[in-house]
Amino acid sequence: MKKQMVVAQVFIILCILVGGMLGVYLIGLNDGAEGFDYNLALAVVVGTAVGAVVPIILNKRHKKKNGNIPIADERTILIMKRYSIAVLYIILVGFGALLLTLFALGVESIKVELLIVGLMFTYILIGIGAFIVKKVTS
Amino acid sequence: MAVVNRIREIRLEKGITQVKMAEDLQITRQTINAIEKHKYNPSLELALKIVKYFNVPIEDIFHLEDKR
Repeated sequence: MKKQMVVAQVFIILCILVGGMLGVYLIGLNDGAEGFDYNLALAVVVGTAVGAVVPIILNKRHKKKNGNIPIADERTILIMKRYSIAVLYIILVGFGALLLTLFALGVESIKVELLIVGLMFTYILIGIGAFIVKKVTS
Repeated sequence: MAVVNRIREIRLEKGITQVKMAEDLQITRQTINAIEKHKYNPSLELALKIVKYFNVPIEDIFHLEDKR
């Protein structure tokens, strides 16, 4: 379990870094002459590093408070699976309803930027929801 | 038919705390609480670990309750 958590955290950090760098590259492409902004890339790296330290501190605090008791076990995984299934259906039905409502209101096209922002908020909400579910059920 | 367990009784008989048991079995204290209150049935793996931990026959810990 501990090894899986470490692998998951490393994977998430790598994803954030790759995503951040891709973002910096795309901004560079958009700006044209300026190219790759190394200051912005540094901000991405530092931000990720600071963010990566937070779970380590939380883990240390948990260990100090609860000794050798793990943070998650088979029940936590089961609860998260159920949460994921619920979220999947809520998002499927929710986005369907949203699209139908927009169509009924006469909206014929959506900006891709708006879709990206919408998805971003969805991801944040799913993350917050998972955190709340974990706290409430344990 | 519901699964009934005597984990709480056996644990108290042996003088083991939930925290100690959680540490030894590498599960959370909340899971032990949920199992003891019959809100969660452990996986077969965890059930066998519990049986080994208490060193008693499986029938002494888990049994099926007949519906009346």
